[in-house]
Amino acid sequence: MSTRARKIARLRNKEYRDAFVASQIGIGLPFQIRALREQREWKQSELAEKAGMLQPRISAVETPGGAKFTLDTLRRIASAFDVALVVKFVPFSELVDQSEDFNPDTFRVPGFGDDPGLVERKEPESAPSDPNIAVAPLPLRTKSS
Amino acid sequence: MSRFLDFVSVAGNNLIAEWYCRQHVEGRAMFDDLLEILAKKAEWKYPEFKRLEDGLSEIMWRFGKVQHRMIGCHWKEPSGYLLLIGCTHKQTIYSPPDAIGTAGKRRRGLLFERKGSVCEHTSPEDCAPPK
Repeated sequence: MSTRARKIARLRNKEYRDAFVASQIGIGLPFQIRALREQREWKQSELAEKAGMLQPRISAVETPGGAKFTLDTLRRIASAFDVALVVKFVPFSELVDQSEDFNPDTFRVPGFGDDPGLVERKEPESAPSDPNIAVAPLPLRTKSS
Repeated sequence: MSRFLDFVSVAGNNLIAEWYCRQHVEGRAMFDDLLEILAKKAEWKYPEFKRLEDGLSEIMWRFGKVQHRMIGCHWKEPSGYLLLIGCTHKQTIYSPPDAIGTAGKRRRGLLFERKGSVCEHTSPEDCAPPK
């Protein structure tokens, strides 16, 4: 039986399902935050300063189960890393897939300035001539005397 | 990718599965998620991992306001991280208080006296509600 199948078997219990949602936050988020901070080679104090928080609070949010997260805390941390934050309701299958795929050693989220998905496509230097497009001649300006 | 092993007593009881089923359901889910993440990590370090004396180490997490610990050790045959005893920790006090001593005794018993055995860790799917 695969780990995924075992996990799904445990999720058949409603209490465990609810606990799974909580633990994805309590255990998963600290590893995400630490991975993003280490990716940027920041100390906890640097993240604290950028997020407007104290260093012990950063230590707590990086400890598995060490902090109760609020949306405001997450928004501030996202802003410090200059990354987006998605909060949405999803089916359990999506959360299971997400937890299976998550690996803190390879978890990378670029900041806005390095986001390859936002690089504008370059326009060709000279637009190809299209015979169907009529170009209206510009009116000639004459110097008024 | 690491795998986890459970300590099984001489009487054949999986003491880790028994400990697991005594935990609050949320604590169980947290433990499962933590092991899943650690299994993928190349290097384990503080704040979720700490080396102790006598070849032992501990996996650490918080649930509620309580520090939880799973004391274990790296194991060669079969290879993996062997879970020896689950406990809680406050300041310098473990509960049960002799958790480290018990873990060391279990490890030495396995190593030198063939007392007990190990099996692959799988969290039980069904646990009776904690008493």
